[in-house]
Amino acid sequence: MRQEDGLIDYGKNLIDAVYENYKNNVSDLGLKVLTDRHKFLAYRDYCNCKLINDNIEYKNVAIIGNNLPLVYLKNLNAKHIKVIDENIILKLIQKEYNFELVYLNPLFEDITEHLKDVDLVIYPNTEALVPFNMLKYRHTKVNALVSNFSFAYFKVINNIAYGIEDLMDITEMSNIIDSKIVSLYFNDLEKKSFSILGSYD
Amino acid sequence: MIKTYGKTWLQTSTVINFITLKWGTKYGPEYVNRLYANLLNAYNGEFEFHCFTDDSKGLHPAIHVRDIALLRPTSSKCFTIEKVYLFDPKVISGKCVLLDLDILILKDLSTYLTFDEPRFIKNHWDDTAAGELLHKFGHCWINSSFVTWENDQLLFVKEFYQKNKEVIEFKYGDLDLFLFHGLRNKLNYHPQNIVYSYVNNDPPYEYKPDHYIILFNTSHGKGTELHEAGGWVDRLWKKFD
Repeated sequence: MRQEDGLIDYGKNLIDAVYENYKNNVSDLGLKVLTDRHKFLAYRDYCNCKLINDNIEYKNVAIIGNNLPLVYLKNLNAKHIKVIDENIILKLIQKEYNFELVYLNPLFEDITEHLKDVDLVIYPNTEALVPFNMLKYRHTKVNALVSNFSFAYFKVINNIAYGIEDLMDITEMSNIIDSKIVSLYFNDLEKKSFSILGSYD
Repeated sequence: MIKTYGKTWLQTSTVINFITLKWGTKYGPEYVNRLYANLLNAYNGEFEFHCFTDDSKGLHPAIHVRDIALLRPTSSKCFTIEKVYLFDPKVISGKCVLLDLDILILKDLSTYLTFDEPRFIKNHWDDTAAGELLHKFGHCWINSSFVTWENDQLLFVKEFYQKNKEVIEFKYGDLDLFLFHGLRNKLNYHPQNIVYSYVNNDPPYEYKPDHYIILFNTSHGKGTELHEAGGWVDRLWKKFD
C-alpha cells in the first residue's frame, strides 16, 4: 500500500466514524474504528457539531487547523466549508469530501484574507492557547468557536498546568468572553467575537 | 585533523564537520569522547569533530572545542534551540552533520552521506499518519538527533525561528515539536532503515547493524540512557576507550 493510501484511509476512517457517531447520537464514544487515542477527538467533534447544529445557522464555516473530522459538517447544515491547514491528509481527501482547502499553516502565516467571506471560524484549542496578539490572523470581527475539551483545560505549557480561568487570561479570551464556562456553553456576544465550547463533564 | 582508516584510505573531496553539543552535567566528557571514537571507526573519510560546550574539561585534545554561547545569542525556553544557530554558515560552514551525544553509529556513514539535500530524522517507528492528524496534540515524528546539511541549506530554519520567535517561545518547549508544527512539510528526511530507536522498536533493544545510527534517549517520552543500556550497547560504546 502506498503511504498516500494509508493516509487517505486513516483520515476517512476517522471522519466517517465521527459522522456515524453523530448521526446515531452516540456521545459515549462507542466507536469501533477509532483507537483510544482518537476518542477524545471524536468526542470533541461530536460536541462541536451538535453545538453548531443546535445553536447557530452559519453557512460559511472556516475550520482552522486539524479539526479534520469537522469536514463532515458539509453533510449537515453548512453551506460551504473552508479548511485552513497544512495537513497532507486534507489534500488527499479534499475532492471526495467536497471542501475548500487553503493549504497554509494558520499559526505562522497570515490567513486574514481567507477569513473575510466566512460567517464562523472554528479554532482548534491549540491555537486558542496562544495569546491572540501573537497570531497573525487576529480577526475579532468574525464569529468564532473555540473548539475545546476538558483535557485542554489543563493543557501543560512549559510544565505548568493551567486551569481554565488561567487559560482564559493567558490567551486574552477573558477580554472577549466575560462569562464563565459551562457545559456546552455558547454565547454569540452580539456577533462581537468569540464564543467557546466549554466543559462537558 | 585528517583521519586515516587503516589500509583503506579514501581520499574524499570534502572534509565533513561532525558536530555535537554538550552542556550542563547530564552527560560527562566520556559521551563526547566515545562519540568521537565511534566516528573514527565508523566513518571512512576525512572529518573534523566539533563540540559546542560550556565545559571542555576531559575532552579528547583532537576535538575542536567551541563555546556554546555562540549558539545562545538570546535566552530561550525551547529545548535545544541552539541547533538552529548551527544552521547559520557564519557559525560553521561546509558539509555538516549534527549528532546528539546519546547515539551510536553502527555502520560506515561515508557510504550513506552521499546525498546533497539537508535531512532530519523522521521517526519511521511512529504512526506517522496519526502524527498528521494529531500534529497539534503533542504528536511529533521529527527528531533532530542526526541532521545533515551544507552551508546555508538550513538557514531558513533559523530565519523562521527568528521571525516567529514570540509565538514559538510561548508555545513550544522543544525544537523538534516546533519543527514538526511549523516546518515539517518544508524539510527532508533520512529514508527508512537508516536510523532506528533502541526503545521504540519491535522487538526493542535489538542490535541492527544494517542501520547506520541508533537513538537512545529520544526526548519524545521514551528512552534509555546509553550508560544504562548494558549488554551489547555497553560493549560497543566502550569498545574504543
